[in-house]
Amino acid sequence: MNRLVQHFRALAHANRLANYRLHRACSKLTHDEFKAARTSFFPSLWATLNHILIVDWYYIAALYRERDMRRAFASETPYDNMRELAAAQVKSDQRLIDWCDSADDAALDAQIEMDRETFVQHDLARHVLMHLLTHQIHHRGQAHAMLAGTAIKPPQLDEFLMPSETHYRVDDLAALGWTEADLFGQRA
Amino acid sequence: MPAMANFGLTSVFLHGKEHFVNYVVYGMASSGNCHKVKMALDHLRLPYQWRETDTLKGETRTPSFLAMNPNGQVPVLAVDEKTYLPESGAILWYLGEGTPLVPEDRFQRARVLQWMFFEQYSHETAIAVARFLRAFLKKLDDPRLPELQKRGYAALGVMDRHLSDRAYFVGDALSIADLALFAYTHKADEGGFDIAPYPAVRAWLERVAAAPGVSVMPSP
Repeated sequence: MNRLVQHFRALAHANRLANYRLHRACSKLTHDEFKAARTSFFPSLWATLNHILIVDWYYIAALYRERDMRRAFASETPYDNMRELAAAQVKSDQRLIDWCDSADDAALDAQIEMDRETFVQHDLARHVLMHLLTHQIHHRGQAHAMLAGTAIKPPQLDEFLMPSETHYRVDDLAALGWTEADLFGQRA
Repeated sequence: MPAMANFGLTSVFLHGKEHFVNYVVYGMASSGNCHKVKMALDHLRLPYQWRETDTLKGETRTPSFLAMNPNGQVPVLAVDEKTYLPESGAILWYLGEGTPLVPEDRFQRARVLQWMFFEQYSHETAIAVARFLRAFLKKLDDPRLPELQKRGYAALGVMDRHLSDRAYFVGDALSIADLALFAYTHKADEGGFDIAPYPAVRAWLERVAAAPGVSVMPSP
């Protein structure tokens, strides 16, 4: 199998794993704590997690060549509560995994059209993926920092993805229904 | 709850929206001359921004557009913030130079230009103009159409004879001459042309359509 395809499959799974850990922790907050004003670029956990979701919607729609990708920005905060937001994020993460699972070299090298309202941006799918995955890591870090200001312990998002460190994620993988081979995109 | 003022959609694109990313193309998606540029960029897998510019709404006649191209036409390729290149043929040459889309041999390079000049003088002026009258302006009984039909079919005949014993217009590989001729030929039906009697052209259209980055031009 092509190594770049495999690499993006692993990153799409890592993205799901990180969202799972972050959302599980945030689900322990009260609704008021979830929406409380805090210090960050998007100044609450509620706003930040919604931002991660709508940006996923936008770029994943672009990868699937859906013309109405800007519908993702109809609302900046489509979900008011953590339960609904988490359910929507699960669906979105799975769509990204599915895209990477069915991708080949040609798909990664294809030009993707991104509707920016006043112009259409064209970049290769592999560059769009790189941008999207990095963008989400950036904002999850902000959520992690805001969570540190609550009674809930922020989850481990910064490590535990080495193949030799399987013991750190046994419970998470069981909850997600994955094997180690799934996580690293090695499924046949 | 703090003010949401800094929370606008622009923040989504904070890292790139108005930033100048590589090439910018001012073009109209349903224009064949513009579609040539899109196909070259897509074939070469170059990043670019496409700024849709509607010629029918006068968007090529504004002072800012005329500053880029005094001739008031799309496409225009912005190479950087102050360097603008109009004319699809010039843009194709600029993008294709140094890639497999432009041959290295001096005579073969001239052959590429030969077919690109043919396209602009004998092909586009008939087939694209007939398409413009019929598909854009809906003037199905325009008095110019019979003459355009005659000249367009003559151009298709020239292409068919040339392609009868070769796969591409120049040499044995796809070049910018093929992209230039593909643009209006694959939508010749919208100009009222029937390409059924031109089997070599039809086979060539299929061959070019299968190349990476080659796409069907949207109808008006």
